[in-house]
Amino acid sequence: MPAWKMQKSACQERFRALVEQHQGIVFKIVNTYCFVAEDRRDLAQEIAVQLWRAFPKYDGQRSFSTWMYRIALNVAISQVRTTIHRGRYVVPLDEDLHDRPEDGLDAGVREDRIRALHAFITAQNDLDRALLLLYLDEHPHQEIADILGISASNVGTRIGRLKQRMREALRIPEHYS
Amino acid sequence: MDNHELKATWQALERRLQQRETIDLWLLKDRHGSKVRTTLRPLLIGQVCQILFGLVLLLLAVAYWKRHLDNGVLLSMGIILHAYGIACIVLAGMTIGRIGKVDPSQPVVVAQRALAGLRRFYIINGMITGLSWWFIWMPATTVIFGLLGSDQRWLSAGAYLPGTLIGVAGLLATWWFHNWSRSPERPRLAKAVENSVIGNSLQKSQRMLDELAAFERE
Repeated sequence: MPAWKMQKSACQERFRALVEQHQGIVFKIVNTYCFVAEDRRDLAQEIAVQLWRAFPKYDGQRSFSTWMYRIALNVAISQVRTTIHRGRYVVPLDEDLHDRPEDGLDAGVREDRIRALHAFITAQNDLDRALLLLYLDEHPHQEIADILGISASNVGTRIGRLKQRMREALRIPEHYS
Repeated sequence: MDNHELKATWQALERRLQQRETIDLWLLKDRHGSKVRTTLRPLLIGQVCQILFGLVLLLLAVAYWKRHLDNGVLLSMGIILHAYGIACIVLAGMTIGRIGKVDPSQPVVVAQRALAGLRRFYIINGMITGLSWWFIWMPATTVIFGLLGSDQRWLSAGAYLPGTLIGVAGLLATWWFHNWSRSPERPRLAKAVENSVIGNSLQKSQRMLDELAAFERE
């Protein structure tokens, strides 16, 4: 096998391993920005294509997840702004999908909270949605700042405001408490 | 709901969303037929075509005005077309320069600002090069017919007055149609115009830039 082919093959294997290791990032972003199966599939494909195209320029010394978050979020925001119609955003959560109860909460309370959080996420603009996703995923402020391109103190301020809005939006109906 | 409960709810929501489907990202990179492409290649090809178009006009204009150094009107027509050709080339070159600055691996705010700026510049480029045809058709036809050997000694500045008036009327009609089509009374037409290049894309791209600036401010 010629040297260039071996090098390409090694590069592909490295990319595949890294993407497999971090593919949860793509699914989270796809699920946060698209609520229609067709849109999710298209967005996932576009992210995969852009990751592969950008991979030759990836600096191995830097965090792969930060790099992947940047590309996936940029592709998602661009696609949502140009292709996906706003009207397609608000799709209810699938009724037939249920997660395992692990928090000991009443099923009704948990259901209401999940729905309220989902509704809150869908109501945010593209940039706040990215910030919220990174915050809920428990990334440090500095890493969020690196991904989004704003200062760490700005991240703190914005998260504070988001939390305040969330507290108001995620009030659980009294009949469950 | 406290912080712990919020995170638990997020994890539950995440699990539920991930149950929807499983996608092999590795296979997706080679799959064809997606409806969407965020790549800027078509835009780049369009700008290269604009450069070639501008170059052709420029060469025609130079060949024309060199023959008419003694006739002020014809010389002016050649020079106007020459300037338009340069404008096409410069604007397309500047758009390509902006395309080169768009890098999806940059931080979100930086990359989105570059994209919104590119979109804004592309629209301005389209407006300048497109709308000027309400007037440019006069020097363009003069130059082309002149190079084909038509007798143009009778052409005076006054001969271009009707064309100029048509151009002004055309510009006004374009502006009127643009406003009329966006009326809430015509939602389907308004939507079609909004989705077109000329629509309110300029406002949209400016809104995106404003949103990004606001996001950066604490």
